[in-house]
Amino acid sequence: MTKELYYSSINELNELYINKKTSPTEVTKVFLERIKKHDSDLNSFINVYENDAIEDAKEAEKYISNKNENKLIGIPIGLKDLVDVKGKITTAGSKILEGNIADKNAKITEDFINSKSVILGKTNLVEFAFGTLGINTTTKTCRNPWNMAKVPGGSSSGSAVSVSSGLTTFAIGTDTGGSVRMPASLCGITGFKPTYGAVSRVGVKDLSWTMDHVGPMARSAEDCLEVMKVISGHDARDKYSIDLSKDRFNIEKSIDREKIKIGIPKQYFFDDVDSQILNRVNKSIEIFKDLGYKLVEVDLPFVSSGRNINVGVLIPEAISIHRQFLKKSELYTKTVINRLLGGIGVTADEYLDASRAMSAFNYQMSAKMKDIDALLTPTVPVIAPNIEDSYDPNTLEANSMGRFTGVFNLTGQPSISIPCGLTNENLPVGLMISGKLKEDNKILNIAIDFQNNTDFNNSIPKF
Amino acid sequence: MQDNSSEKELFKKLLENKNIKLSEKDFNQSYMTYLNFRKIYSSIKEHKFDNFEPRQRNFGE
Repeated sequence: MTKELYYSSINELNELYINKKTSPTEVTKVFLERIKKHDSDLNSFINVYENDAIEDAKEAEKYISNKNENKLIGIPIGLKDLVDVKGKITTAGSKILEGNIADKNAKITEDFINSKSVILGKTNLVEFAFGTLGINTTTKTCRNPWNMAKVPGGSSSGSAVSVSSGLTTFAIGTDTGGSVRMPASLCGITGFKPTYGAVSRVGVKDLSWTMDHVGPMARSAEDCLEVMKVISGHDARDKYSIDLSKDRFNIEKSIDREKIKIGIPKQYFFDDVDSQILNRVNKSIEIFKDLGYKLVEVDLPFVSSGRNINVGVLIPEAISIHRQFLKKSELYTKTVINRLLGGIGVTADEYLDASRAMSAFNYQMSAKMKDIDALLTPTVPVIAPNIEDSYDPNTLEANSMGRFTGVFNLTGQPSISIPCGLTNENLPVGLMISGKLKEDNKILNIAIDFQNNTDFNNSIPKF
Repeated sequence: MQDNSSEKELFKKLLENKNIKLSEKDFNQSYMTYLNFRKIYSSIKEHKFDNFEPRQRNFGE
């Protein structure tokens, strides 16, 4: 019974609550016990709000009803420690923000409070979300529950690890070049980056205002969809917010597969990829074919420049945001200060060039996407390296991890990473599905269909 | 791109202007990152984007 609870889906827990088989308080206690038992090894939480969580769970019990469409009542959640919770410290995983108490809730925090979700605490991350592997020497690097010697991926490392190891039902991450999808891939969970602007960034610490996205991380695409129902919607305080309203997120009972055209890129996404990753992704492509989806090869000759443009826009924005802190360079972790300092000296001309190249890139991608509904690719090209080999900021893995994910931060397209198998060393492999702008619901439903017909997302790490 | 020694001097000056002092090891690692970023901006210059304004995503689809 206990095992079922901590790996249960949002809908399963909701049903158990309605049928009075368990309660939010009981479930919250199970998670808090597990955090106590396992998190001194995993390091997935920076702060745990034990008393508040119990109080919130008791409060949530008053709202359980089969008439309530909100499925997040009494569901435990972890928030990446970039997300403000009023009266609590937001550290961004950095010594620089030690003691930084938020005076307001982030918009998504308000959404979760209004939904009567139970915030268990703040999850670990790469300092200021600026890294791909999950290394953080200030907060202690999270351990990948599939192999404790391996990196969990970053930057939403703690969110991925806590979901993967059954320390929370779902978590929130942020994604500037792949920081939801990369750790989701490495930790064997599902991570969804919505269309740019679909989730408000208000009260979430910025890394790059052009590239930042906020998204859910869970054990299934269905859970991600349930979270999107609660956190999507226009927010006038976020200049780039779009109106992708909650009623646009629905689980489709049946999918007309033969009408869905899925593109397999001819270039870039299958080059220089680890052979085991390639093998698992290719097998998944076959599964899509067998399910009846229409698969076509897509010519994307321009796409190899995407990651460079993503980085070219991101770096000067990150430096601008960090200008106030750079004089305290000794307080940063080595890997992050290295990246920030490596970017000093970028000129206004170069930033504008990168921003205009972004538009040219997006114009081409937009034209290609007119004929197809989704692209299938690997999430990352490399297998998780050992933590002890990953402190140098310029390793091959650090530099290549975001090669595929960053393309969709540039375009702003919805993009999801779902598990698609394990390597011979028992490490998870991720498959990325990316769709047209604002077609988040379609991408989530394609992922749900795949997960309903396979068992990859039910694999559980032994730690 | 300038030759390596003048690039290195330029990077040193950029750090000095911001009053940032690094150990030799940290300097060398940051310099390597700096060179990687320089390559990225050189490659971006080669793109054709004359007809585009900055940071557009939506092209009316």
